[in-house]
Amino acid sequence: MNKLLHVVLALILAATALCARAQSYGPPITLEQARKVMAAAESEARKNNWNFSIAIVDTGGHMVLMQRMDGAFFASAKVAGDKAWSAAAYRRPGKAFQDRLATGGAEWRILQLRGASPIEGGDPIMADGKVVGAIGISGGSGEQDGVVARAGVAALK
Amino acid sequence: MKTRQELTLADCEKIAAAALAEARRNKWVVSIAILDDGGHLLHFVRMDGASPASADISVEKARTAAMTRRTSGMWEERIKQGRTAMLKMPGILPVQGGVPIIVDGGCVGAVGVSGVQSHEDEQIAQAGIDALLKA
Repeated sequence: MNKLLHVVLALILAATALCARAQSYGPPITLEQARKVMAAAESEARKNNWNFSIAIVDTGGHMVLMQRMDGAFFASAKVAGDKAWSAAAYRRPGKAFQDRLATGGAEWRILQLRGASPIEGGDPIMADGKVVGAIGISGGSGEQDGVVARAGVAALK
Repeated sequence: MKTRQELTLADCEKIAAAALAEARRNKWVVSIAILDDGGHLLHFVRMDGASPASADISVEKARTAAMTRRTSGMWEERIKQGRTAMLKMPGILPVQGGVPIIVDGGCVGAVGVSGVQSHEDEQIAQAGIDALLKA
């Protein structure tokens, strides 16, 4: 029974790894697509009375659209950009790094990954199953940033 | 006590919309950055087809204007006139296209544009600022 469990777990892990690898870059996000993502993220933030910075980058990690809402602290502008860059460059959410980091041990190495932002609130933006860019949010708790980021990403699915 | 003017997101959207319209009218493709008076990003748009480099350049032009309260073109001019020592000034990108936003004699931020010829970049930035201040 225990052995079976191990086999199942190994299969799930392998499948997850394969999925992660299957993600590839598509054409860079257009301004029109970015505006849709921005509008959805902003409305989610407003709904919750959150004043955040929202940054959207293309497949090269270069900024396409960014806005800082009234009252957001100024560091959030840079942090949102960093989170977006990390999500685009590593093609995975900051939350994935955050969770691995939390397990400790060897995963502390994530802190040494160049430009990686191991904080929730950065997500790849997908279109037609490919990464076309990424969104980064900063201004609230990581969980709040994550809610806004996911609302933005959902606008393009 | 002094009061301090601050750009709102609505102000930035007004500036960006007018700057974008000026660019589109001339069929120019650019990046447009709006920074606050501390040189921190408030708003940014890169038009489809604008180079990745233009993104960073527009921000640096705006930062130059916001931090020095002068156009980045003014710095370019001074260097052209022979003050080459100005190339060593910290945080200055001496290329036309960054314009400070002056309200009641104080600087509240700046607009930086990159993507076309430098004087055209400045024309776009100025169109954005005019839409805010001359409305």
